[in-house]
Amino acid sequence: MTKTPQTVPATNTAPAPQQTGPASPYLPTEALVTRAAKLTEKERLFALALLNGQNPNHTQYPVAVESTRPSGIAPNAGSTLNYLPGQFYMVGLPGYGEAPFSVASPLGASEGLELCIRAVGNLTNAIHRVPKGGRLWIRGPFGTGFDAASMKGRDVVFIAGGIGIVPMRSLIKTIVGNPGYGRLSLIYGTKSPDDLLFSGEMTEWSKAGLRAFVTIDKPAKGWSGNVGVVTTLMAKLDIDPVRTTAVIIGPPVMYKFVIMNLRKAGMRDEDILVSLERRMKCGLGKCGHCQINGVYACQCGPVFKLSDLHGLPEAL
Amino acid sequence: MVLSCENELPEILRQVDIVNFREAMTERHEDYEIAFVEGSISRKEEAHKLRKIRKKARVVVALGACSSTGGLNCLKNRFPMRYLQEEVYGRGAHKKKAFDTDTVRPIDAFIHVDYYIHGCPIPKKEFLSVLTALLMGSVPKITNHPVCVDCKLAGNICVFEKGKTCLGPVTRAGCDAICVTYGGVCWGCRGLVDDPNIGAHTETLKRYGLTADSVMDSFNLYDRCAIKRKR
Amino acid sequence: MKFITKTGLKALVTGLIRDYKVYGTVKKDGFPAYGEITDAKQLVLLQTPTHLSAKGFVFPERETLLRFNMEDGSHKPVVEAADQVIIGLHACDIHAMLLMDRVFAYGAPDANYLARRAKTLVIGTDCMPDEHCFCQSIGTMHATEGFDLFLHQTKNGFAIDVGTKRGAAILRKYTKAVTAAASEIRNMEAFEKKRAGSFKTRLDAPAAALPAIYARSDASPVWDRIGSICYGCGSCNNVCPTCYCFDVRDEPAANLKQGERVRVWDACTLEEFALVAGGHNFRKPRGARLRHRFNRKFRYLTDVFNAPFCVGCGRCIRTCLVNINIAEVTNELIAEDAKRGIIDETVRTKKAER
Repeated sequence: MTKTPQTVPATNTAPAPQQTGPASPYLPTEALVTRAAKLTEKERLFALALLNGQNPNHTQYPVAVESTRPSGIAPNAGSTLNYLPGQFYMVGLPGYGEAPFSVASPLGASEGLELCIRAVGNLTNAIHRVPKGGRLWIRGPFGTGFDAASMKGRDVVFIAGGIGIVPMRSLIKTIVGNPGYGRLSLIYGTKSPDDLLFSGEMTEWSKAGLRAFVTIDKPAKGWSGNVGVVTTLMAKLDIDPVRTTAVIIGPPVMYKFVIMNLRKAGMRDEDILVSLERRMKCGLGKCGHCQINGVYACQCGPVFKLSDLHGLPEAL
Repeated sequence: MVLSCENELPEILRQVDIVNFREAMTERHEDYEIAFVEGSISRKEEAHKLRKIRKKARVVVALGACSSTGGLNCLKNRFPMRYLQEEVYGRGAHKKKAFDTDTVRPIDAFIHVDYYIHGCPIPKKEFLSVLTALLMGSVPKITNHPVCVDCKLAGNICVFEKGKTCLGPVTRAGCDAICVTYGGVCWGCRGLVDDPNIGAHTETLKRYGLTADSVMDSFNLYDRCAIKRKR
Repeated sequence: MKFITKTGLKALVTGLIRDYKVYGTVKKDGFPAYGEITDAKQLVLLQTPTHLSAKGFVFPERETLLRFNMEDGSHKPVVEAADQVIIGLHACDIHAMLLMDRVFAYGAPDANYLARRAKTLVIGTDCMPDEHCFCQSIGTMHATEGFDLFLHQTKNGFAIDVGTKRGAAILRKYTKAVTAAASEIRNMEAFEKKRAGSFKTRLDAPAAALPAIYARSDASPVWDRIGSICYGCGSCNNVCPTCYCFDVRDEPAANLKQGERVRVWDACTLEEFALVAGGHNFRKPRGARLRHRFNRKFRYLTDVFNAPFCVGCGRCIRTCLVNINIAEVTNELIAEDAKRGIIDETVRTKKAER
């Protein structure tokens, strides 16, 4: 079914005619999908580039079936979106809504903004149906990020559980291979080998000096590696508490035990960073859904120092 | 209610084929993906038909209070079967096969149900939003908060202030509190929310003058099957 | 101060109706509410608060943020506002609107709220507390800003505080206002004196002491107790003039072409408010949700805005079917705190005064 390309009102430009105040912060930006790769049964990695704002030929937004039309638009070569590892974008599709997704790519990635999306609901399943050349709507970046530069001269321990490896990848790729950092270690745990993400990249990171330990929850056929939750591997870390920064990202249940172990090893709460997932709906510190006690996770988080969480019992 | 979606039916028919709709068309065939099933089950033959529908359809949606939660028909369950049969069909009816009847149950007592559209009747807009979601490849979102929310958003004065009683605080919203908006009270036709505070509401109803029996009557109108199952 | 007679008010309202959409306090089924005023006769100046607050006029229950087309991906932001007047906000509600003004201008300015607010004229009116009002304890009993005009009912008419140039302009345009006579002002002052002595609900600590008291009250048995009777019905949030949490969702049309992204009032006391994608609910127990709401009013937001977010209007108390009373709960927490030996100096002084 061919459609004559319609002239689309330019997005993100001048405000609507009778507006007396600021522009709507809910207006999304169109991003072009320059790459869409299957990682696992449930996860896909998307690379996005921003459009120039010119009227392009439109690829039809997928409704229930995958669109196969070619894009006809050259991506913005070398576009950099101004984000930090740890931050998130509100990503959406018309009709399906928006949800927060952590950036998966490092600072200044040549591939553009990468997002790893797990298909768990209506929006994420619809996003999975968007092919290379299709469009996603994004707003952002929002929230606090990791300050990789402040970790220079220190050992960094990355502890990732499940899909926590996605924002962790952004930070790891920002740090690994760059000079000025101490010992780098990663503990990564998932439910099963089928849920493992980025194993190929992990090999490269190991070659660049990252000590990586991977574990799965329960024994699985064909898996000869570690079995057990991430805390079972923490003894291998040999933490020097004075010069270590620890970063923890994972499912809610993981934090308590990992933190207990890190504190036992002598670490201070100021040196432990966590990223806390909440259901952001506006990203602007207004809708209230991401509140952790008195703070909005989309404004004061999702990256927090553990020492900042002392007054926030709902955090962990 | 489905046929009342006059404005949207042309659009819907552009996207789907309705192949079997007793109340609306004579033609029928048995090859379908989505089945909307209305009505509760009270006879073995109905259960049999229901299981056949489940085998054919990829998606089964319970349409309305009776199929979702048992609905008003569950009032029957308060009485012994023989008494009912004789009361309705005459003496000795319980011995005749023609008057055979079972405990009333919602359809999910027999088959797995994918989605529910609650209400007696269903809200038009909920039927449309569920169908639209299915056509978009999405899981329909069903409201899970009390009718009080819908009432406040409609700007209604609470009927308790007017000395009436209402099941709104434990009933599933999604109906825009239409009954209260038009001068009535909530009878609980959309069934209970997932986690209703029945204890608190029993006390509230008593505080507003209902006897313990009347409280049970209120809950039994639409929610009898649900409450029995929660126990 | 200015002054107009009752006839003068009628003229003002009649004039406003010609040029604006006018909303004001009315009796709805005999109950105090806000309604559209199409004839000056419909306006009923109320002594006590309305059932629902006036926040819906600047922060509607349901508001379109975007209109989009799913086929071609086009989308337009929607920021709609029309000139309107609201008559009948009491001091507590004016304070509440001032707080909402700050909230929606803070950080990323909210285009929708600010557009509506800019086109809204506020005419406040005086009041007498009912058994649940406690604005006196919060410090929101009088409003010195946040209104265009404020009417004080006197023997012969209304003494008027003119709050803005806009207020002065409508006074000039639609009615005849004179300088208020000394007798009218005395009348007003007598009324206010009577008002100050009429409060039945009081907080046992000054509002400034509450953030610290709440900060020490997370483990109070109060929360489980009120949580066990709470329905999680959201009524308290919905009637509250300073509750502003909302849900954002897409509503596609049946033709799968047009659609809207809308925001709708949401409530932290509802079960699914803190539910996340993986199925985890960060605030499942009802007691925890109530604790969150009360902390929002007396503690969490004070750090950012340096003001309590409860204005003492008592609406949540009136609307709660199980009689959960925010003032009583606060006083319980104050008492518990005192028993722990951490008694605020001002609390001690206040108790001595009685």
